[in-house]
Amino acid sequence: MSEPMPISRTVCAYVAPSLMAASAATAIEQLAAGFGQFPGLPGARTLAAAALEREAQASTFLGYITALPHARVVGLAHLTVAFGRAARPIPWTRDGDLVQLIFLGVVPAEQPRHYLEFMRALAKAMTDSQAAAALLAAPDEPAIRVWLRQHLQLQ
Amino acid sequence: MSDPLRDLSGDALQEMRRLRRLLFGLRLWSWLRPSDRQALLWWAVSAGLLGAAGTVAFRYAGLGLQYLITGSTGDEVAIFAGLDWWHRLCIPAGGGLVAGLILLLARRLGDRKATDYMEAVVVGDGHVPVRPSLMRSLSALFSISSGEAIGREGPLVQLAAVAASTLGRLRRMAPARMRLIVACGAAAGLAAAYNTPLGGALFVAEIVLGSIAMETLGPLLISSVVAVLINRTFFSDAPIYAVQTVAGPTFGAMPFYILLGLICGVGAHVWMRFLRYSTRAFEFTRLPLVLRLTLGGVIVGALAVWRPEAAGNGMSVIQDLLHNHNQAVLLLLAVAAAKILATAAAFGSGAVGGVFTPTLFVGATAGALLTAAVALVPGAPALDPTGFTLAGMGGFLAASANAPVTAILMIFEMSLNHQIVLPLMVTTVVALFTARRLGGESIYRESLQSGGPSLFDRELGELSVADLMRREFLQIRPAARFSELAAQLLKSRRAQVLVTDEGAILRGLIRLADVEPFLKDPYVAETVLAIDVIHEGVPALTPATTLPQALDSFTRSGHDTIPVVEAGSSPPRVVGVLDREDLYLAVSEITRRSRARAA
Repeated sequence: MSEPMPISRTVCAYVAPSLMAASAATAIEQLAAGFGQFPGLPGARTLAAAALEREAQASTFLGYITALPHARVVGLAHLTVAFGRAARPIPWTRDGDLVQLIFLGVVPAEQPRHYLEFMRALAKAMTDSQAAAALLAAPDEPAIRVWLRQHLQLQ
Repeated sequence: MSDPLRDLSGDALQEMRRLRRLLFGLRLWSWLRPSDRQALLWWAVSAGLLGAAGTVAFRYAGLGLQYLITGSTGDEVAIFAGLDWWHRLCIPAGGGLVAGLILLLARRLGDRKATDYMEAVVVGDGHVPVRPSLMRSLSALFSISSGEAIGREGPLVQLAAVAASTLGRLRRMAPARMRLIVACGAAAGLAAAYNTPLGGALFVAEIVLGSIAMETLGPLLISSVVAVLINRTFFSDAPIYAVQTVAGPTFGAMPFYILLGLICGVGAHVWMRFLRYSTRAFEFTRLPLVLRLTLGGVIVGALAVWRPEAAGNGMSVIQDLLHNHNQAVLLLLAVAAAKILATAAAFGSGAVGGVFTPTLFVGATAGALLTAAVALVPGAPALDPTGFTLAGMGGFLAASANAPVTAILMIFEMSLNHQIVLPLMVTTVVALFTARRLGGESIYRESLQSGGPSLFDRELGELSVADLMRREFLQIRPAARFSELAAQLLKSRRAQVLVTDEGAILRGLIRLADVEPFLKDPYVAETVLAIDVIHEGVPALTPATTLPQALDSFTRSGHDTIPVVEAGSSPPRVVGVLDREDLYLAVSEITRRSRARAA
């Protein structure tokens, strides 16, 4: 079995600084579409369907206005992420928990540990109130990418 | 950032608090949890305690029963020498009858054959069934207490192994650990029986596990030490074959020690064949089990009427050989003949017991006879009877058990005389190589398996995954929370868990190595499901898969456990799992036996 990859090899394929979505499903579909023709990934519909199916089993709401919906893909080289910052908070769970920062992950199915490492790094970053505030306040996509590289080592 | 619990209420708040409590427990456990090796030593101590308890209980029960039967306790030879001829005849016969009735009752209760501890260690999952083992031990108790010429180490080791196996089952140990703990129990039983901590551990390492690697020898030694310490608080701490003086090794004596080695090598080969023929002879009579054991007892009794030394396991006769050097050759031959025939009768009839001490006796007699015979030759050097008796014991044991290191250390521990070590090494090595030249069988493997071919005696191609797989396995649903997954893995202490749908339909497996670093992480526990960390598309075996094919699957996949699915089922339904270690150990043992047969 292959060894887990270091988190530094996580790739950010798309950033949406002002995501306009009223629901979790719409947000996931928009971010999935953002992957476009990124090499090695299946089509947007397939990704969105897989992520929504997983979301239906249990919410990926992490707390701290953050969610990590994800889909697993066989044979993928890197954990690949599309990030969206919602213009307005989105009701994410059945209990009405609000989410503004969405990380749609496409996870290599053979490396579950890589996904767990990313989740740990994300949770650590978001519990730092200054770091989270900086992400919310980042003016544009380049600034967001700098933040993602600094805090999550997303390339 | 605000407290995430602040805005929660009702069920969600309670669930979050439950998770936090669980995580606190997991963190605490993770912090306090000893390393695998530390934990193993602790369980080895426990196995030693239990093994010693079983040994002490069996020995006291034996003494009590001996008193009830003969009116006194202690050395069987002395007791039988003081009995009327008809008592000498009837007591072993009656003991055989009762021992046979107990075995018959065990069969009626459905216990066809107790799993031998060796089988449990080498190929099984370490499970030694309790009731069949207890019934066989009870049968052995009657055989041994009534003076049958059979060793007591068999039931002692089996009892100690059962105790360790029960401990492992209660603690839900993984198979590899369970097997090692059962081996620790067996080592404890043997060490306590002979007051030989090093020898007990080496015996199990060399004969049962087939390896003297420190990973396994360490726990075995700890168990043995604990068992011997406890045993010494109840019984004597003196070595059972203590000798005051052994003549130092000289160049002049060495050719005779080499000659003794040759005699032991050939003698061990003949001894094993003799025991086998005896078993066949009893089978040929087609007598029912109870009558067969009774007949065995009658033969032992009749021999004891002629020579009381025929009774018992032979320990006191060996002690006599070590200390009384003025016995005539003819007397030695008579005692040896009576003892060997009595052991063959008891063993062949199916009496439950061991052949360790009887084997030592034959070797001791060979050494004593050699010195007595050489003394008759004019001009021949005077040989030390004690040294040759001890060297004969070691040589015969090494050749019969195919275990030279065990033989040397056990004889040294039993006699605690350092002068014997050099000649013992010479005789042992020569005996071993002679025996190997003649086939290199091991009496211990045969006798401890209570007769009948075992799984290991079949050819590799005849076996399939169904013979080795475990039918009980850990499984979890795909939608299970990470906290549940973590709890299951920590509780079971297994390295992998299968992910299945309703009806044991296989989805994949989760490896502890993937998730272990995250067990303390609250976000993971609350958010991740089993399906998120699953390995899908794992290879699966069927019960009919051959062992070479299974080996190939393990090599390619790198998994430690591979699910076994019902042949032709779609979607695949899990019926068991096969562990890499079980497979490797089994293949190694089958190959070893196959080579030995071919040689």
